[in-house]
Amino acid sequence: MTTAMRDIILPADWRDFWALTKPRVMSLVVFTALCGLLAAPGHIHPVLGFTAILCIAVGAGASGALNQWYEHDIDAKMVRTAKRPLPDGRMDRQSALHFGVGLAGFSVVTMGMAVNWLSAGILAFSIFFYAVVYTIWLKRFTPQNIVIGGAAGAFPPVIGWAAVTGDVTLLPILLFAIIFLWTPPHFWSLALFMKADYAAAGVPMLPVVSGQKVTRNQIFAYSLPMAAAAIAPYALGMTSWLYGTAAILLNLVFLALAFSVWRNPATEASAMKPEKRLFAFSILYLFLLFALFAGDRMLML
Amino acid sequence: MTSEERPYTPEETKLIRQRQAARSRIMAALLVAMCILFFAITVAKIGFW
Repeated sequence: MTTAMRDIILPADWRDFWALTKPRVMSLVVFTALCGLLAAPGHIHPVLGFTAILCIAVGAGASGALNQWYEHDIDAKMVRTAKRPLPDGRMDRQSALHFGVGLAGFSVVTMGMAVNWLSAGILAFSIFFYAVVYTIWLKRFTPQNIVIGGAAGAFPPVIGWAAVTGDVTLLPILLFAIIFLWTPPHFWSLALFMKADYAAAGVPMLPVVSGQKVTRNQIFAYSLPMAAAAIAPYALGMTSWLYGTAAILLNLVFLALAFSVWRNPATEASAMKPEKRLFAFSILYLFLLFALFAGDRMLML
Repeated sequence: MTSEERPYTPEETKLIRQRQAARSRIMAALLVAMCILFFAITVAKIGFW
């Protein structure tokens, strides 16, 4: 676990291993997984519930490490990622690979032995999906990369649910659908005002390949089924009016912002205020929606 | 060793030792945390709590 720094060989700093796990992404993963776990019917021992969330967090960290191991060349070309440990030369690639594989193995085996093997299986599949299907296969070859890759980020609430119940029913599938359909508007709004960065790195994001108009159409198009999926738990009688009302209001705001993105003709990043607003709100939207969902379900159960 | 096989300077050696010590402390803390976690999981699975 060493790296060349100028002309001497330095062991990588522990903070760089921490950075490899993408802590900010991990926080959203932990949060949605916790919501899935809290919303599930039944009981889980608090220690095992904590272990399940820990394993999901470590699994997400493994995915982040393996992603950065493979993408070191792309990361070096983008301003947003150039200071990560690998492109900045603070760590060698083999250390990142060993770290990622080690975390993945630990999280899956611990989840299986402590909680149940269904949740461990879904966790293993989500790591594989993010590291191999998204990072290695899709990201460099198709502008639909984040649509299919978004599935990897949609698994945590399903894993949290499965940790409690040992099965997967309609409600966790709806939670999966919400995050899956939320991912394209979220990432494409970012890609619109970061287009130059992605183009420089040669990543075929939709604005780079198909243009801004097509991307804006797609953002609005994906927002509609996302709103439907978000309101569906209430419409199907699985939550109370509390979540239903909040979901309708949150989705109205989301759709209004997506509409203003759709109508925005700007080509320069400086004139893309609607896109920046949608990107910022989309994060708040997901946090609020899942928090309200979990709170509502806990009151119902 | 350096790329030219020259010995480390005292400053470089100090920096390497600091990094190694910091990583050892983190690793020790993680191992202790893992022991506690596995003990707690075992007790919870047995149904003692």
